[in-house]
Amino acid sequence: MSLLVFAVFGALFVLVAVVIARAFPVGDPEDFLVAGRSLPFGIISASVMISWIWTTTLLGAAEAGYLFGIGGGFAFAIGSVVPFFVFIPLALRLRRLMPYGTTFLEFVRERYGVGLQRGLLVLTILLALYISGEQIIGISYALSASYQIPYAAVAMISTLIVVLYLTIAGLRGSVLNDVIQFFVIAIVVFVLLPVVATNIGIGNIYEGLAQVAGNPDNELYNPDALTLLAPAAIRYCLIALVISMGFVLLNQGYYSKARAAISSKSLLAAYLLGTVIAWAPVPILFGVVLGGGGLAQGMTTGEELRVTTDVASAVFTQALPTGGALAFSLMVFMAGMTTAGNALAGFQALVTVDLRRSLPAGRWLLSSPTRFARLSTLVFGVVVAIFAIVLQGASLLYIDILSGIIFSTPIAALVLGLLWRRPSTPVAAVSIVLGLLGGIGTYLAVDDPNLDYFYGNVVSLGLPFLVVVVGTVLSKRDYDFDELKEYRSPTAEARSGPDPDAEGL
Amino acid sequence: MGPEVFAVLVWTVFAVGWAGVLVIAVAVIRELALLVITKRRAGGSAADTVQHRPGEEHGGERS
Repeated sequence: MSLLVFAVFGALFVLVAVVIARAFPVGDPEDFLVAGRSLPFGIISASVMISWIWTTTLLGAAEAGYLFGIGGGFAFAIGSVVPFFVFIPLALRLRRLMPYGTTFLEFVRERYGVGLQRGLLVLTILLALYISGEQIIGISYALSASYQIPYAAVAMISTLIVVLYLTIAGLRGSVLNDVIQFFVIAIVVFVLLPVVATNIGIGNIYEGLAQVAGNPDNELYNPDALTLLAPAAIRYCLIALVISMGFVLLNQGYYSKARAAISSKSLLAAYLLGTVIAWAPVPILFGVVLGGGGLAQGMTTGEELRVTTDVASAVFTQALPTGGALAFSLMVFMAGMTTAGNALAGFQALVTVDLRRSLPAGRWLLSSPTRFARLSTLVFGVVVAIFAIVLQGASLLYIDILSGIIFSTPIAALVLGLLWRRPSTPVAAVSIVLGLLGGIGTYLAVDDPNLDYFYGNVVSLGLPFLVVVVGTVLSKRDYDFDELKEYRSPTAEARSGPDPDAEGL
Repeated sequence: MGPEVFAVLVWTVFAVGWAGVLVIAVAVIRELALLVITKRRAGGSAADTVQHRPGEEHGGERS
C-alpha cells in the first residue's frame, strides 16, 4: 500500500511535467530555464520554501535538538536563514544590474573574466552534484530501510523521476511540482506535527528536558538542554551558517527562481516569506518537538535509535502510530525531490548558458540550447545516481564539513564584487585560493576533533573577505557597473524590449 | 525557562509557520486559478479564431 502511494506520486510528478509542457510549449530557452521570467509571488514562495527543506533539515534539525537541547533547532534555523539575508539583496542587485542575465556566473564572467568564471563553473557543478546526490542518498536510506527495497533501486528510480520532470518541462515543470509537494509537506509539518506534539504533551517534553538538564545520573544528561543560547548550539549555528552560505549563494537554482520572478517586488516578498517566515519554524519545531521529545522520552542509541539521526522518525512514528511512518517517509521523499530538482534546475541553466558558450560552436548538440539542456540533465542524472549509489554507507557529516570548507571560499569575491567597484580579478582569485588553503590547513592543524571543522569552516569563509578588503585597498581598479546594463544572456538574445522590472514595479 | 514560557514558545513558532504557509497557500491557489482561467480564455479565443473566421459560421458580418 505504502509503495503504491510513492509510485502514484512519482507518476503524478512526471504527468504534471507532461501537462505543463503541453500547456506551455517551450518556445525558447528562456521559457525552459527561467519560466519566461513570469512566475508570480505565491508559486515562487512555495517553491523556494520547499526546495530549502532538505532531507537534512528534517532529520538534522531534530538530531541537533536531541544533541544540543532546545537551542539545537533554533541554531539550525538561524544558521540556515542568515544566508538568505545576503542572497536576497544580491539577487535584487543582479536583476537591476543585468536585467537580461540568467546565471550568476555571467556576472562573474563580465566582472572578473572568463578564467574565474570557468573555475567557479566547475565548483558550482560539483555543488549541484553534491546537493542532488545528498538528497537521493537521504531518500534511498529512508525508503530502503522502511520498505525493504534495495537502496540502489530507490536511488535510480527517484533520480529518474526528478530528471524526467525537469527534462520534460524545465524550470516551470519543476516549480509546479514543488507546489504539489509544498501542500503535502505543509500538511505533515503544520497539521500532523502539532498532533504529535499534543500526543506527547508539551508539558511532558518540558518535564523530560528539565530531567535531562538537572540530573547528572541521567544517561542523556545535558545541563544546557533547556538553554536557548548554549555554547555548543551557538557553535553549531555558526557551522550551519558557513555551510549554508555556499549552498545558497553558489546554488544557481535560487538565482534561476529569482530571475523567474515576474518582478523584483515579487522576488523580495516571495523569498522573505518562503525562506524566513514559513521555513524557519520547520527546523525549530523539528528540533524542539522531535529532538526534544526524543531526549525527554529517554531514547538512546543502541536501544530505540540506531543512530541519533533516527530520532525524528522514531518520535514521529511512536506518537502517531497510524499512518505516521508513511507520512514521515513521504515528507522525506518530497523534501529530497524538491531540493534535488532545485539543484538540477540550476545545473541546467549553468550548462546551457555558461558551459555551452565555452564549447566549439556548430555541432548538432550545441545548435539548440534546449536540446543541450535536456541531454546534459539526463547525463548528469546518471552521474547523480552513480554518486548516490557509490556513497552508500559513507559519512555524510564528514562530506558536509569538507563541502563547507570548499564551497564557502568564493563568497567574498562574489559578494564584494557585486557591491564594490574596486575588487580586481587577481585579488578575487587569490582570495579563493587562500581561503581554500587556509580552511583545509586550519582543519588539519587543529587537534581537537570537536573544534577542527568549526575553525576550518570559519577560516574558509572569513579569510577571503579579509584578503579581498586588504587587496582592494592596495589596488587602483574601478569597475563600471553600468557596462552590465546592456548585457544579454545568450539564451535571452531573442528577447527585446525594456528592462523586465521597469514595467513590473 | 519555565514550563509556561516553553509552551508559549512552541505554540508561537507553530503560529508563525501556520501564518506563513497559509499566506503562501492562498496566493498559490489564486495564482493557479488565474492561470487556468487565462489559459482557457486564450485557448478559447485562439480556437474561435481558427475554427470560426469572421463572417463564417458565427456571423461576424452581423456585428
